[in-house]
Amino acid sequence: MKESTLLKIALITSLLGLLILYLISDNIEIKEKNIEKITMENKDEFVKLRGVVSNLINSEKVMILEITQPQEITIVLFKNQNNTFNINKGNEVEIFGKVDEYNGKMEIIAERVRVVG
Amino acid sequence: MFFEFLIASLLGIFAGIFTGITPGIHINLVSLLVVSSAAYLTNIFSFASLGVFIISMAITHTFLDTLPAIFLGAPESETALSVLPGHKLLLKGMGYEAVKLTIIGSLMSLLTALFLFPLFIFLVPRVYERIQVYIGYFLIAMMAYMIFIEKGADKKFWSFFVFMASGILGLIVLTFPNLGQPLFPLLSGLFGISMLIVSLMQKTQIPKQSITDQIKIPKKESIKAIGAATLTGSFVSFFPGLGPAQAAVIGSQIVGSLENYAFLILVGGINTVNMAVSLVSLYTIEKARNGAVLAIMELLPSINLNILLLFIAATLFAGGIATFLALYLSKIFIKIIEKVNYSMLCILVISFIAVLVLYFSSWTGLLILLVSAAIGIVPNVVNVKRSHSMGCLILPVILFFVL
Repeated sequence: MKESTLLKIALITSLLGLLILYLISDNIEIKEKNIEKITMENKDEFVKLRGVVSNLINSEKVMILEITQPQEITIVLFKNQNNTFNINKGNEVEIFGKVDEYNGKMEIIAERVRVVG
Repeated sequence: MFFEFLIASLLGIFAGIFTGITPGIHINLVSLLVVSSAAYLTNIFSFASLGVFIISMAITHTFLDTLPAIFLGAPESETALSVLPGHKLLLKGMGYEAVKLTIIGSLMSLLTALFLFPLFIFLVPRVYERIQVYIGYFLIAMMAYMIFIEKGADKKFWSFFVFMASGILGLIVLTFPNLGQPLFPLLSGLFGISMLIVSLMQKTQIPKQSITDQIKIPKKESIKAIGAATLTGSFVSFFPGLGPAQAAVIGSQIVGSLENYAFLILVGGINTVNMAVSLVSLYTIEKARNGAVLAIMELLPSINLNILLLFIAATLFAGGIATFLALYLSKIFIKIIEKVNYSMLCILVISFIAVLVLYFSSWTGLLILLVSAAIGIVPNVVNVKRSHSMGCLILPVILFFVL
């Protein structure tokens, strides 16, 4: 096989990939998760969501937030893993974490919570 | 969205260049970094884009990792029996051709495998459902066969020894408490450092390399190699623990003896197909068969058809670009190995890996690196296949399924 033939095939392959990428990119859902859509099926899945802090319990090692979207979900934030603690009731926050289940209720074990408003 | 995916793919290709040409740096390491930094990265990229990044990196890596494999760690030509086909060509001044053959294998087998994706999607869940309870026994049979095909009682004994020694080491390392990146020192020692040490001990001289435009290889041989690479690379990607080394053995058995050129096409193809087809396992049976797919699974536990198509697009894009990169970079490699002292280069690479192991896995990692390098040298000394050292992963997987 000639090198030029190999490179032509490579170029066509790349362009084909680029074309599929262009055509498919509009069909990929990248919305943040709605609380109502978080179910047992999402357990252990990383999610990113936004909501307003409706309640907050702050202990030595853990911070528990109730987030309203208007649906509610509990966010557990272990303090040794996070350093953003300047969170107050009424803040709009962005959460990134893993879906978990506790006593039959869905909750998020947060890896990061960021105040966005 | 298109530009976000495009940027993610280009960054992935860039990362793949780094992991591919740097001995000891594996995509698993970067994939893990992506997952652990996902909380911050998702401020810029979506989960799907992070998946595109990982896939593009993994595919590029499979095209480029043949460069250090061929240009570094070559033993003396007198020990011809244990010299890998890539090293054989390097010692004849045909290192560039060796790289080009693996690239032909990678690109052509990738295209063949992607063409067969619908068939794989249909077959994998149906076959997996029937065989999953026998996976452990299948792996035992596979390893027994690989030991059995070594010629003579001596070689059979040493193959078994290497398999068990690396397997027991794998069991210890994978269950070692609080050890960061356990696979890094284990695999670097067994497959990377050991080859470099052998090369150092033998004071290898690399002849002047030539760059040829055309490779003449019989069509029938190429088709056989690409077909076998697609078939076996796909097959082993459904089984935990098995990798390209085992696929190469199965492939050689299926198509019969292949000449050096065709064997390099086979090896290059298996590596890439193995990575690409593992996406089918993720899509159909939601199982990760390698570190990169495991990382994607962490970010996107179940993928739909649109995401699979997105990953296929990234695979094609990265595969095409990686072909250009591999040929260009191998010319640079040739210039470097012709100018620098080969032994010094090996020492530098060994030191680099040792420093990385110390950083990621501390002193315990360094000890593991030493022990695994010692085991990794054995196949070369006793002249058996290095792939028996994959026992480090296969034995723990067998025990997981059988016990």
